[in-house]
Amino acid sequence: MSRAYRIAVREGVQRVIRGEDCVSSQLELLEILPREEMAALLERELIARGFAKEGDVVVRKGENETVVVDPKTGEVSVSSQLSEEVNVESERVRTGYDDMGPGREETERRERESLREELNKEVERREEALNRKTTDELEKALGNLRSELDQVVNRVTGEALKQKAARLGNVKRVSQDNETGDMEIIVEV
Amino acid sequence: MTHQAPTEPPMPMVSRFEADLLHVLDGILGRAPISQTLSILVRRNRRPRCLSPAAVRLVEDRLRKGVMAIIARGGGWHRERHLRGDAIVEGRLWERAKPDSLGLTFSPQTIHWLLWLTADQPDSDPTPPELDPDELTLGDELVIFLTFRALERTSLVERIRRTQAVRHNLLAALMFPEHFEVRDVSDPSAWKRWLEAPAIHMLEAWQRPLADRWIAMERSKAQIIRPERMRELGERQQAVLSAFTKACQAAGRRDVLRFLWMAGQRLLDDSATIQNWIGSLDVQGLRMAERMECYRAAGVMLYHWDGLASQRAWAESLGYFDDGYQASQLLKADWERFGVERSLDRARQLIRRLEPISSP
Repeated sequence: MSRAYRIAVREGVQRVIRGEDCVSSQLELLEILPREEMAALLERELIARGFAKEGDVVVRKGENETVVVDPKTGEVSVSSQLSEEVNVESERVRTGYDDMGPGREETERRERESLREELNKEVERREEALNRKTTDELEKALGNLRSELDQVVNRVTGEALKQKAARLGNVKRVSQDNETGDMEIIVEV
Repeated sequence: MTHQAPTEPPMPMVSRFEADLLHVLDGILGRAPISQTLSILVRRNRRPRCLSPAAVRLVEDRLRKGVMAIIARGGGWHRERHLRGDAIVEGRLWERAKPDSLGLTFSPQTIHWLLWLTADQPDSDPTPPELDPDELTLGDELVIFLTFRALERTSLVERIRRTQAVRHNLLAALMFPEHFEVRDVSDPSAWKRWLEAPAIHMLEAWQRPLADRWIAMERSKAQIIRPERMRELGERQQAVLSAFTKACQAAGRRDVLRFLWMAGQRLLDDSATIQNWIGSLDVQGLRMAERMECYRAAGVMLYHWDGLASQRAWAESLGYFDDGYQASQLLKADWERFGVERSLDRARQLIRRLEPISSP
């Protein structure tokens, strides 16, 4: 006579998942002055905006994003990192018969494996969701950064033009339209 | 007095197989529609031990006339200016180049290639057994290129592109980069042979077909949906452009980059928008890093044109007595002729739309 048995398996997965995304691009800086001088102007302007010097680059860390600029090359990298602790648990109960199927031990092993697979898939889904969130954060950060870096480039270009003009002769007048960014420099040579 | 009509030479007699082989060659040379030869190419035909002398003479005759016609009609007839050493020469191809520098040599490998195409189903035997890719003459390479060009839009292209002979055919790679693996085309030194006579005369003659082909490739990007397809196309284009450009610069033959200026003039007019490159691309669900890879792959030619802006500085840096002065003058003339400065401005505007940090 066959006897029924009940198997209850419980599994849990605890992991820290990370979402990362990054982009890099190049600032369009005209070489009005020699490269090293342009790099120095750029570095100064970025430090004034909260960047900190770390070796050859300047870095600004935000809540979820990090901006790294190499003043010598003008390369800008923006990365976003989010992390989350995931703790998922699940339980399954199965009934088996001792004269049918694979047997109690094997059934238990299979159920555990299947449950772990299910939990891992759940963790993967959450990881994908975190990646999407990270990408959204990065897009938001880029939106704000674009206009800020445009201002940086305009200011650095303006300053470089003034310095260049001063080397050409006697600067009589400098006028700048802050709205349009237009600049007029009158130099007596 | 009797008058005897001149006797015509007897019509050459060839076997059924040899007639098929000649038909295949006609398709390759564009003397017959390739569709008429496909039925020969897809079936297995019994290969003879060798070709008859008559058949070989007919192959030689077709190659002699057909190849010259292809090069002349393909663009050799245009009056153009190109470099010869330190001088600029102008005229049609046969006016610019001496006859002995235009000649191509065909080896028995061309016959082996034609035999293999006609006799065997290409997918059953991926490499013609008698063909040694390291021993191909330029004439042989040209026949392989013309075969690829003729079959490029047919289902047979997948089969022949796996052959060693096609994989290393750089002329085919320049015309159809989308079919070539990056590793097979990335070495600038491998292009050296194509930048010397007689091969370079083909490149001179085919500037317009090259421009047309690259324009068609760029325009096809508007229909590409899958990001992986765009990345693959961009990588392959980049590999060919980069290696070929470096090789041209090293050989002092920037004049054969003219097809890039021609393509730019037509692609980068005032109506060009970035949607022409990424309009159908589905980047939903991709990370920003992956999206940028796709966008940059789409814009490979835009970035390449931007990178070539330094050519202007090179041209302007050379004085009258410097080596390469004539080459620099020809480059400046080409830039003027094809409105390259305007194209570059447009390319930069479009690049700003692709880049994540630039303002449009």
